[in-house]
Amino acid sequence: MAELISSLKEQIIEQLNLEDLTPEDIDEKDPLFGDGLGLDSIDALELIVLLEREYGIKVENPADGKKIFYSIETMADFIEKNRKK
Amino acid sequence: MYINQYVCISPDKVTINNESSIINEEKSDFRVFTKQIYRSYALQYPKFFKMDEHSRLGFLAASLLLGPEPELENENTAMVMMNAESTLFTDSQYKESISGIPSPALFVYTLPNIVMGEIAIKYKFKGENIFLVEPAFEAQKLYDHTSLIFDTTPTQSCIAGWVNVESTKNYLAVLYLVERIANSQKCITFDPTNIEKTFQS
Repeated sequence: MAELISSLKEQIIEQLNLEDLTPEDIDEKDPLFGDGLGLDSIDALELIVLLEREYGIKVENPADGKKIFYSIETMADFIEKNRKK
Repeated sequence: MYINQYVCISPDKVTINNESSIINEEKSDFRVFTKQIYRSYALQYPKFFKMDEHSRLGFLAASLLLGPEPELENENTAMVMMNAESTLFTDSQYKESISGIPSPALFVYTLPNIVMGEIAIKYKFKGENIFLVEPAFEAQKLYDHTSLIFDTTPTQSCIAGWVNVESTKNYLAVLYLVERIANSQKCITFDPTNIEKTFQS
């Protein structure tokens, strides 16, 4: 799980062009949206793309997004249970 | 009306009121040079890094033009911009991304007026705006559209000019601040001849 969280941080920084951040700056329990990393709706779409491209996971129900993308930790948990690659 | 300030960003240098500010001595590519400008001016706006080349260029030019705390009336600040390439450079990147999984972050930048949206969000401008796509720079047309906005609305200030990205080696932004009142000794009269001069800077 720790390895997944680490690579997820790097992928998110790269995919979302968070050039001012390093993986160490991101706490896996912090919220990704709002007061945490401050991501926006376009970033949310990019995260969906990231899940599909890197882990072969399609988020079928948009309503699940709020829980899946709450934090790096919740994302990693979801990936571990659903990954196809 | 007066052009109180103007900024030019090209692959070679940044000039403010025709005076060199930053020289791209190492001939860095677009991403590196624009990041250098961003850092040099200590800009604090993480969303900058998410922007496509067109918005990055226009946003940077506007940031240098306005400085850290512009004293403009948000409701009455307009924007009039022009270019020749629209967002073809970004459109091409988006087209390439379609072969895999299309990128939403690229897609949102496939319109030339998005750069004005980015500037408006940063500075909370709510005035009139228009982005013109023309075969080449046309000072008279920029003058006509800007004058019309000043003549028909309560606009007090207008950020206007050229923001064009053909490639990461060939790009140019020339933005100037037009205001009803002259506010610096370096100001020049707002007319097509002087707009042309800013473009030649």
